[in-house]
Amino acid sequence: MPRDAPTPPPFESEALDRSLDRYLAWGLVFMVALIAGFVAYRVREPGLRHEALRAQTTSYRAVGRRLYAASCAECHGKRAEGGSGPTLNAKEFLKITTDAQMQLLISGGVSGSDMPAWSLDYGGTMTDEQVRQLVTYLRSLEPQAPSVPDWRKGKTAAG
Amino acid sequence: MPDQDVLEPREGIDVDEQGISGRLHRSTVWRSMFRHPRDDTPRGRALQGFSNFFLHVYPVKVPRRVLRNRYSWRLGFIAAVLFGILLVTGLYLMFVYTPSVGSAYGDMQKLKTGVGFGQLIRNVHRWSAHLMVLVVFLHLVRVFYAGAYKHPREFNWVLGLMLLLLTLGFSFTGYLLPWDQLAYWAVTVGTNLVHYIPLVGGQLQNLLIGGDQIGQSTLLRFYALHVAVLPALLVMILGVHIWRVRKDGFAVRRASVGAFAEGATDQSIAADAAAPPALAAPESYGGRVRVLGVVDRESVTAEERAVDDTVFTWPHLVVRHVVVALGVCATVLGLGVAFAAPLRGLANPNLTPEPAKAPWYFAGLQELLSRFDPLVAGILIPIGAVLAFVALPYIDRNPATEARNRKVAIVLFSLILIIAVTLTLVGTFFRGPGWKWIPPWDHWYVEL
Repeated sequence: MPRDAPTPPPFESEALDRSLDRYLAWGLVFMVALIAGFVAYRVREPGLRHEALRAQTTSYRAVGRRLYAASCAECHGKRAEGGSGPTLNAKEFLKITTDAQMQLLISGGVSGSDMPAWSLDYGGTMTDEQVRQLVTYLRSLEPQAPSVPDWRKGKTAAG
Repeated sequence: MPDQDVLEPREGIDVDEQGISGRLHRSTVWRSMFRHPRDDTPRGRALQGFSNFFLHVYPVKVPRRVLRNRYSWRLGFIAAVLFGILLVTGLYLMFVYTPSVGSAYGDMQKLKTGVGFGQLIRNVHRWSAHLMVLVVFLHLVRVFYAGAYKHPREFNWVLGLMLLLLTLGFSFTGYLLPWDQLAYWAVTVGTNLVHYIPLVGGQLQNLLIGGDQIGQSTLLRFYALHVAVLPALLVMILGVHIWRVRKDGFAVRRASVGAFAEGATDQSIAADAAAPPALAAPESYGGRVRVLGVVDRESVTAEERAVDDTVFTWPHLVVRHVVVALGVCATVLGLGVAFAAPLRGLANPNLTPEPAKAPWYFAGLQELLSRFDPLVAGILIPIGAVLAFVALPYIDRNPATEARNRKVAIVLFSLILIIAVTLTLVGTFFRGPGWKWIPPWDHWYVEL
């Protein structure tokens, strides 16, 4: 304000200003609650995710096993021990192949072999989720997988 | 000149304001964005309202009673805030979700296992949606008891009913999207109602779900309705709804004093129309304009204040609204952190859960259906109720807003309300497998 300007007379009651202040205080409380809410969730999130992942893995493994029996067992063997296709229940195979690679192989197939593309995206019959379920099932074999150095050869190697 | 006030707001700026904030407020960039003077006078406050887009949704002044929470319980505003929250959280979910039978359910799981804040956002979206249905309904009830549907607000009441129906449509179409058992069967039960419409029922149901039973076409249809059609309609109608509230003065007219007294607006408009335009045609005053006196600005305002009990929207109403909005956000966030949105097993057309219940807001209808002929309970009663509500402001011509002068309307409405609420509570809480009477304390069959 210019130094010589008179202070304008108040045009609103003090009670209004006071209630405005009360509201602003509540606003502050709500903002703190909002921030606290996000922080609280962030703290809980890893635990929740872990729990959800475990539940999902269990259900995916079960569905994956059924899918495997229906679509894969013919070439890879009933227990993934290999057939006309490579042995999948093999320590070596599971060790060098990541989940993402496995997903890509199942989705897109292997050119120059009998392995077709399974994903709907490439003309197959499976959704991405079903492919993930298959991968989850195969991965679950890893702890008990026997050593099959010649896993690429399929039945001949296993037998 | 008002233009000068807005564009060249030199007058009234704190030119002596010191430091960084003073420089900022005097800078060209700041003044280009905030064109009103920053002085704390009635004129400055009014210009803040006139020259600001957001504040322009509000009138410059509102009747003082609007500030009281008990006046409207802020229900309409809360509903709008919830809609905003739903838009934002819904956008977030759209980045993750694919409306395909093969991947929808997996996307729900991905929200749980692999998307940052994904499950939280879904929880908030779900609880906000349920709350929005509830709040919009309570808003309707409040508006009825306040008599706020009467002239000149008849059509805004109709718009409000459309918004209620759109809200139900939103909630119902969204219900299917997770593609779990809960979604599949609630929507199956809900869409079966359409079948009872005479003559065209079967075809309508076919159109709605895109085939004989809920499947990929249904999911895609509901998704398109949920994210494109309904939002566009709701935003448009909500815009008109709010605009009319603002034009009608933000409050029901009361037999009070001043500008909001009964009939005051009509009279002043009539007076304006009758008076000859003074500056354009001074001849009509006999070719001479005489200055009777110069009145200082403050005293004019003081005079107005004595006549109508109004307050400046900014800051009083706007701050209250912002704080209420924050409160709503904090509430739904709290709900989202505390309670996870349900996700049952993958949708399975061959496995009917017991009981298969419609979403809670249709549970009253389902309860009716269990007692009456489907044509009566599923079609005649709901459609009749909607039509009766639409016609209400045109049938009820009684201008009174106070309860003692509109007993018939209040008794009738209260009866309908009690029946509807009772049916909904019974359908939601007291029904178990085979639609048998099972109180919630014996077994809890409620799913949200």
